[in-house]
Amino acid sequence: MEKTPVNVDKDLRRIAGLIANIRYTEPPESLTENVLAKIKPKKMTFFKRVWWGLRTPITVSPLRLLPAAVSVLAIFALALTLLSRDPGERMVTQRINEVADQGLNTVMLFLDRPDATDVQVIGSFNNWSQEGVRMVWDKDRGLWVVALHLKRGSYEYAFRINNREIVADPKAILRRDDGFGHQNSILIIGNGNGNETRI
Amino acid sequence: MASGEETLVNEILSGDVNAYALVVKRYEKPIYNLMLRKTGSEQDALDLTQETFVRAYEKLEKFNPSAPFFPWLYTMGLNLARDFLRRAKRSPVEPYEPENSFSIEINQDDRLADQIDAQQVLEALQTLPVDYREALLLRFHEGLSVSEVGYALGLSLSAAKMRIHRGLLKLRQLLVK
Repeated sequence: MEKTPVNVDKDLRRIAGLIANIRYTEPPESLTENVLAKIKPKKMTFFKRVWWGLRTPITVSPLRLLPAAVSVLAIFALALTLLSRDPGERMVTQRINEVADQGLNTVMLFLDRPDATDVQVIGSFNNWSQEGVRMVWDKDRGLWVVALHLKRGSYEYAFRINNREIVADPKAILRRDDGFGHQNSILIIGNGNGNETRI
Repeated sequence: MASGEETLVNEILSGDVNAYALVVKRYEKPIYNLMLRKTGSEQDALDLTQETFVRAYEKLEKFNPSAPFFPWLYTMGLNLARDFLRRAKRSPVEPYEPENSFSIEINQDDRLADQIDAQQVLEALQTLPVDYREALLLRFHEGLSVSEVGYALGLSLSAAKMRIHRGLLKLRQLLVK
C-alpha cells in the first residue's frame, strides 16, 4: 500500500471521523413487528443445544476444570436418560405452544423509561392479572421492550413501573379512564398479518 | 460477538422470539440504510430489510457463535440485495468501477475544505463505487474491525485494508477544494 503524506493522512482521519457522524435514516417502526410476524419460535432439540454449546467459545481457567468436567459427565448422563424418554415429554413453554398452534399475532411494545428497574405490561389480555408480562431492557436502544402474542381483538393495557407506578403507553393516541384514576391505552389487533392499530 | 449476543442467540434458539426482537432493533438501522443505498426505494428497502432478518432467523442454527454476528447478517443483506436487483433486472443505484481500473494520484497541494460536514461526506459517498462505500461505512460508521469488514465483504484482511484506504483517498479527492 502506498505511503501517504502526513497532511493527506490527517485529512483521511478527518474524513473517517465525519463518516462516523453520518446520520442514517430511521427505519419504519413497524419493521420489527413485521419480522416477528413472519417467524415462529424455534424448537431446539437437546442434541442441537449441546452442539451449539460446544461451538460457543468459552474461557476456561485451570481452577474451573473440575466443575466443568463434572458438568460434562452430568450432561452425558442426562443424555442417556433422555434418549429413553418419550419425545412428547420434551419441555416447551406454554407461550411457544400458543404462538405455534393458535396463529396469534405478535405485537411489540416499547417504553422509554431508563430510570425504571422493572417494567411489566398489564392488561385485559390476561384479565389484568397481578402477574404482568415482564419487559426486557435493551441497553443498545435505551428502551424497555416486549413482544406480546395476541388473538384478534381489542385490548386495554398499561405499563407498571417498579411495581408502583401505572402509566399509559405514550405512543398510544386514544386512552380510556379505568375509573380508578389511571388511564389505559387501547390496542386493536387486525387480520393477523402483523398489522396492529394502537389508538 | 457483541457483548451478550451469544446469550441472546442461545435464547432465540431455545424458542424465545422476544430475544430476536432485540437483535432486530439493534441492527435494523444499518441494514435498512444499506438497502436504501442499494435500491433507492423506501418500500424495497423495507421489504429487503425484513427479508434479511427473516432469512437470518431461519439460518441461525448455521451461524458460527465464535464469529461476529453483524458481519454475517450484513453479508446476508448484501446477497439478498444483489439477488433482488438481478431478479428485477435493475442495475444497482450506485456507479460500478472495477477496482483494477482505479488509480489515485495524490496531489500534495490539495487541501480538504475547512467547513466540510458529515452530510457532504454522505453525498460524496453516494458517488463512490459500492465496494468502497460499503467498506468505509462498515469500518467507520458501524465501527467494525478491518478483519470484520473483510468477513462481511468476502475479502482477506489485506484486501479489506487496501479497500478502506483507497476508498478514503478516493473520497478525499472528491472533497478537496
